[in-house]
Amino acid sequence: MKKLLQQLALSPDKTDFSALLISFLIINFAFLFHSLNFMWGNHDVAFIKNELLLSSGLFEGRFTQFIPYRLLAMGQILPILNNIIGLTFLTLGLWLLAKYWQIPKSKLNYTLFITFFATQPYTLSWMYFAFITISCLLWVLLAVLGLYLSEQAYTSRHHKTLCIIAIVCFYIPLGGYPPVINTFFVGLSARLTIACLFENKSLKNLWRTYKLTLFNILIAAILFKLTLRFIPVDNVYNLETTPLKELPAKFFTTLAIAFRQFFVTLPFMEQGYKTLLAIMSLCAVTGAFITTPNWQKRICTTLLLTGTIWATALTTFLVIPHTEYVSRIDFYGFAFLYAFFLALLLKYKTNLSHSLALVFMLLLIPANIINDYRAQKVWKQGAEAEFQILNRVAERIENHPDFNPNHKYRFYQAGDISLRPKYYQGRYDKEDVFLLSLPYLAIWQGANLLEFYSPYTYIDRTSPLLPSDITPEVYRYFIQQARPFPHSEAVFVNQDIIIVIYNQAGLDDFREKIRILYPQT
Amino acid sequence: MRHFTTLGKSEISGWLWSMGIICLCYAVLMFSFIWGNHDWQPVLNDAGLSAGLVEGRFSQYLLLNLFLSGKILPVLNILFGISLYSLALVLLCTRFFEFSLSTLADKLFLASVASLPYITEIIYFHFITFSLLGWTLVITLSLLTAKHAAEKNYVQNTILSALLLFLAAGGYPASVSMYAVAVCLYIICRPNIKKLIPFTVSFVVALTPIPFIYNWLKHNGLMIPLYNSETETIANLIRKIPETLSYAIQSLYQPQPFFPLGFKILIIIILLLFIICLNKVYFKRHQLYISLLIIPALLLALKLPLWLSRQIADGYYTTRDPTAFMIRGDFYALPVLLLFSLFYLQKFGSQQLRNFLLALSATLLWFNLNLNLSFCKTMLLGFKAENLLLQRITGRIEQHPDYKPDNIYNITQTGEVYFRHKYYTPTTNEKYGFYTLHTPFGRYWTGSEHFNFYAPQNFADNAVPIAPEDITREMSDFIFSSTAVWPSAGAIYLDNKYCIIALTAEGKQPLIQQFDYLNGQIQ
Repeated sequence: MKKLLQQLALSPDKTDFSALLISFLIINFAFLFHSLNFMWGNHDVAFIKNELLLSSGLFEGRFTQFIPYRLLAMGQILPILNNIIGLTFLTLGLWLLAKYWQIPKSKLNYTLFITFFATQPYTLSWMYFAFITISCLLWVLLAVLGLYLSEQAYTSRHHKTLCIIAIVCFYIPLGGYPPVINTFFVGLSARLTIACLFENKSLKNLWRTYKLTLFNILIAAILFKLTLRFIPVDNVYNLETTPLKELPAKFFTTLAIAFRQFFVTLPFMEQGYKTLLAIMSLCAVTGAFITTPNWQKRICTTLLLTGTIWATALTTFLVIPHTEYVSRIDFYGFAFLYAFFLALLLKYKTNLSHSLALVFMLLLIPANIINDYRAQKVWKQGAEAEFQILNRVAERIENHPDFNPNHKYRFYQAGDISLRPKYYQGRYDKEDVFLLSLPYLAIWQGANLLEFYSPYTYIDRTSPLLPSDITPEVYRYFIQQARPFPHSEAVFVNQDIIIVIYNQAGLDDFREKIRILYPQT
Repeated sequence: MRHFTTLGKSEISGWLWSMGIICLCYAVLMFSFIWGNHDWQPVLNDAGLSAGLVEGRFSQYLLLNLFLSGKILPVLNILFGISLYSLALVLLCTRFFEFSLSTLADKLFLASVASLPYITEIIYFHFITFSLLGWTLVITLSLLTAKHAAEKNYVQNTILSALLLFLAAGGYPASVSMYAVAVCLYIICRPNIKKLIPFTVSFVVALTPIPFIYNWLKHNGLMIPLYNSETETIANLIRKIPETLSYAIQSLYQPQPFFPLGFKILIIIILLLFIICLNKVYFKRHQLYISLLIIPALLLALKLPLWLSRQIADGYYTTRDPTAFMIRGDFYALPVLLLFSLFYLQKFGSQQLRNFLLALSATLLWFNLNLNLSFCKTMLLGFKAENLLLQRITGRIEQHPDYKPDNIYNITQTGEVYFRHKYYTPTTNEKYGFYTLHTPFGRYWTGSEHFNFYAPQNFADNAVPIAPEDITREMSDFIFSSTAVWPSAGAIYLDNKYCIIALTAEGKQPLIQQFDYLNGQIQ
């Protein structure tokens, strides 16, 4: 094993170990509050209590999503370990990326590169849902490993074996979270740019060396699509692909979106921060043009750089639903672009570029950590506030004279309350559901939430509200009396049903639904 | 004095490794400051030196008062306890058994033993976590002193060893099984009768006064008679040997919460490999008689508390928390045995065996992390859930029309509600786990403690039982006629003096029986 790792230049030496350890410690520090407080999101309620099964992701077509959980954590979402395992994979993946992009090897360079990427607030978007943290951070490692092995396969005598392993490395993440395809192409495109800039390779040479990588990704994608045919997948948003005839036009809209990403601000990634990142990117790109010796090379570099930037929005290009400026998809694309620009600054053979890299990192890594802690504070306060409301609602239900904990009630939650935004002071262009706006008290989790801390199981999971539940008396109550929380009329309990109203929009929606039953009134 | 020199580089490194891994497992509990159902009063009022006398544990709080002035503090109690326990394992390994701790494999073995989930039940009781973990170091020092006695200052060192063991036994009697297991294993290293004498003398001198101390404490009303202070007669000890050996073997394979069958099988594999290796390396023909004694002696030592103490048949704890399967009893015995086994196999085993051992140890470490953190999760969520319930009950009491904020109410909680198991997915055939999983944070008999804990002023007192002359018609109706239990509207009875919370229907039964008896007295 050691010999194989040495042949592939994957055997870490003292410098690698030091960089990995220091980076790992800093990265865990950046998310320590989240780890120690065992924070989780609105998809996690049932999984925290029960366990994740291998089949838990099948309904979304994510057939490999929970393999890491079953293997490493017995299907459990566990405090601290969940984050540590995920961040370990991320750290290793970024170390491998540093090798793949051939960043000059030193403890400082590797530490800066790994720490910068991993502490970006994009990483937090994958920590919001604890039930996929491990898997989705592992996909980074597998994606980069696939790229790395595909390149090694070109010169190795074991090229068939390496290709098969690379295909598996691409296939598994696709089966877990398809937008990881952004990472494949950003990583590859960046590698091509580096090869063009620093290894003096022509486009023809690049094609010869890296066509194997492209081929492996394609095979993995085909296998992924074929696998989906065998899985009973529900009608879900994230699998509808753009029709072929629309792709040419979409290419340019995608390109525009890709470039706009430099300027669009998100929660915890505000104007000043994005500007600093944009300046860093500009410095790196400027350096690329200064470094190239002739116009031919410059055109080649421009094409490759543009391709790399475009690849950050590949998922947006490929699927119908809008996925632009979504933090957890940007994690697999745009975040890697910033890492690539840092890599370029580290690779240029001038003191100025190294100094610039250092200065940017001295500003950006602390900025990352501060933004991460701002986010963790907001998440904690929002969660506390929402769960206190949940507790008061549970109290009202339990205190109700018609409540019997041994009975099974049909349940409906009208609306939700999202309180994380209340604790956020900042401005952004585009809302992000994972970083800020998703509620913990989600509509479709109402039953799980109410019973989460309850000693009783009193909600009938087999049946939603029935038309017969909306008696004239119930109808009158909801049309005339009901109010959203915290009004006293926000919780309705009778012998058969429990209804909780969290907001006016939810109440209005519910009123619309029940008006159909009594059209004459 | 070679046993008592300052720590070497590899020992410090081993200490930090093992401490680090245990801290990783329990960081969440350390920083959340969660406690168990015995801890309400001690967390609030500290634990004085004499607080353990009621159970006969006369030195229980010695360490806590020495290091932390009797306080139970966030982070520190568990952290200090962990540091003492890790140091104990390192000293046992390097100074007592004289194994090397120089390679990465050695550190892995140490980490995998240090993080064994037997600590879970120790961590549950926050008021004695520091003490129970600290006794391991005290016992290790006792062992080292007895070992040193064979080389120098025979009498003084034997007395010192006995004193240290006496303190540990006086703090938590079950901890002596650590001493017994270590000595049995030491015989394998040094089968010299003369060298065993200090250990034997120390053991006898340390334990002999204890029953007399218990009798004195009981006689003076300082100690209540409890299951865990009665010892067996000599005749019963001999009679109990087969039964104890049987339980020792059963507990090795019986799955329990946070100790699934897979984990138990891993432990059994390590122990079996150890016995096989022992057989090949150590048990030559002329030493066969020792082999015939060592294994049963070890098994007996594993369950020393069970062997020595008298069990109350049909007691409340006999079925729920039987001594034979007590995790906190196993804490003092099994890690020592596993530590020795792993290092012994590493020293005397073949290269293939050593490689296999590395894989086993890594798997064990993986199991430990998962099981410990699963325990932490149930503690975190269960504690929160119970406190939320407590808040709601308190709110209902405060909103009762007859509630007077200046009154102190005799509070009776009928029944208990368990939460932790809701956040745990059991494996097949699991049994017991009374403290690791099932017991609630608020017992029916700690009503005044947990209701007063977060109240702005104390309003609950459950020191005095309900007096017959205080039984009103309304109270009687509430007990006998009303079927309302929490969270129903009529689940709380309140008058000027008494507050009765009907938490569960089953919990009401003992109170109904008590009232029947009192009614009989009145009539």
